[in-house]
Amino acid sequence: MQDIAPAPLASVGGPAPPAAAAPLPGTPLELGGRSKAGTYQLTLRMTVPQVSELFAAEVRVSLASGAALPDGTTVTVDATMPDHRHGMMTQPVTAAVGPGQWRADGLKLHMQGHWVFAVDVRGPAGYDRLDLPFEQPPEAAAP
Amino acid sequence: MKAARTTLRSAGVLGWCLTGALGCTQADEPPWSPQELRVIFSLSPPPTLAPSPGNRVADDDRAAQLGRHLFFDKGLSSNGQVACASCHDPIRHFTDGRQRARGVADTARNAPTIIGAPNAPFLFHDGRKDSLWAQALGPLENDAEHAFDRTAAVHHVAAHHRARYEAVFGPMPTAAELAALPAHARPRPLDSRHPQARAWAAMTELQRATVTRVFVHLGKAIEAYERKLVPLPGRFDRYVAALRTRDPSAAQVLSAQERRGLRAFIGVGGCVNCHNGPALSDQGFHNLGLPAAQGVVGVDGGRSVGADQVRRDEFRCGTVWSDATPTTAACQELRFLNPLFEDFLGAFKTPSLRNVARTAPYMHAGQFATLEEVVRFYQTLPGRAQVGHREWTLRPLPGSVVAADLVAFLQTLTGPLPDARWLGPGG
Repeated sequence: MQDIAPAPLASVGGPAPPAAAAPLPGTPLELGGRSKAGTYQLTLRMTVPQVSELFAAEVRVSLASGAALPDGTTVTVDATMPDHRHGMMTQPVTAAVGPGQWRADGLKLHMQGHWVFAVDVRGPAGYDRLDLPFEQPPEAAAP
Repeated sequence: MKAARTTLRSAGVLGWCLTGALGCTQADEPPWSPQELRVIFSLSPPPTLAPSPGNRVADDDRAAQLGRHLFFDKGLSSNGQVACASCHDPIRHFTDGRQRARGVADTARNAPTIIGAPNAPFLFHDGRKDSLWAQALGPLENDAEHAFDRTAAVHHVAAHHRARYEAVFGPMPTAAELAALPAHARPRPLDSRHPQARAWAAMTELQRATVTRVFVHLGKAIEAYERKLVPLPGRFDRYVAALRTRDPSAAQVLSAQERRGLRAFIGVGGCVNCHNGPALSDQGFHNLGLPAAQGVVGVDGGRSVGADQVRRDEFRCGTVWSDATPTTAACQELRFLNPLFEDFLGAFKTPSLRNVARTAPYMHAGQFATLEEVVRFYQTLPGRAQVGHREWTLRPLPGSVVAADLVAFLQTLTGPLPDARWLGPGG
């Protein structure tokens, strides 16, 4: 499994870019924004994977209000292909790695095309979610 | 990133000249776009060999020689008539040409090619094994294939392959230890009253471990042999190599019809959604809604069953029999496997399309005899899935896709057979 992206990061937000603009595998990438109900500010950092490559992502969470993130907050990361009506063939595992930081291992996007990462946050500040569109480039994993 | 995009743009402009069969004279054939070139480049050259951390002798030539002898040895079957090569015949690109494989009896599945198999994270059409060495042991004890058993295998290897075995793995059990073993014994978790299961249960724990250790070594030697069977470049790869280097001779490598097939394959046909990467397989599992296999009773759950089996497999990654420890990267495919993936029901592994023109019939139960039949199925997608549901994204091929073009392209994926040294049992 490849490691999480080192700095510096390219920043991509908003709707999914057209396929021709999909960043190449190996490119550091940061996705992020405000969660749906406005509770959290989230970022997801990773290195753009190759098709069918196991990879990890780092999630950073803070309260949008600027207050300290309360203890007991947990994060999960999933990914789906809405157009295909399926998710991943893997079951990622997310673990806290520091204050406001989590690492999700076991992500794998087995098809090129439009995926959506779903970052769910649960805790004393409430449940909220952020969907992050991502365009998986066609290059497949080198064995 | 910027430099990469510039290169692709340049290649795209150049593509106008390279895609025409007669240089730049075919005005009706559009140039490859930068995105098309990016996809084409992702499909070639053929995959290189991935490491096999669960098998410490995976790249040991002596193990490969032993594995070659085992692969062609009919003595490793209950009736003395079945070898691995019976269903994986080298001259048929390691397939058997049959709808469904036949060992000592008929099986329910088509025999896939061995060429390129070492790179798959999950083996068998349903992915019920997670290493090639573990896969190789399955048919030996399958009652429809070799119908052999563990102690018989050890006795046979001691009698016929001892020197080669010991050169790789060290001493076999002593004559006295072999004499104390039953002729036929193996675990049969689903049939504990079978004579072989009773004989296995009657053995000591040390005897069972000793026998299983030798048995596992046979699988690892066979994997070492099968790792010699890598897919070699075909005409498609020569075309891509020429595109990469802007060699004007690219236009002569593939015909206009073959290039049209390639364009459909990576474009409106959507084939590349699953047949991607150098192996032209996503190594995933999909339910195509295939017709029932003629002569097969019952419904095949495919990956939904295989995903459960591999997580409990006796020889899975990280067990005492594997040379990989469970916490290492080697076992992550298994660690993160989602057995409840919603679309596993009735799904089967995406086969590599390398050498596909030489590996008929097609699909997990050999439902289609020819590539033309396969494409005809994708043109209309008749019927419904036997179990589960057809992959949601599958749509009939657009009318603009000419079946003969796709078939012509698929035939460009044929490469030569592996090195002749590995195509027979040798001396």
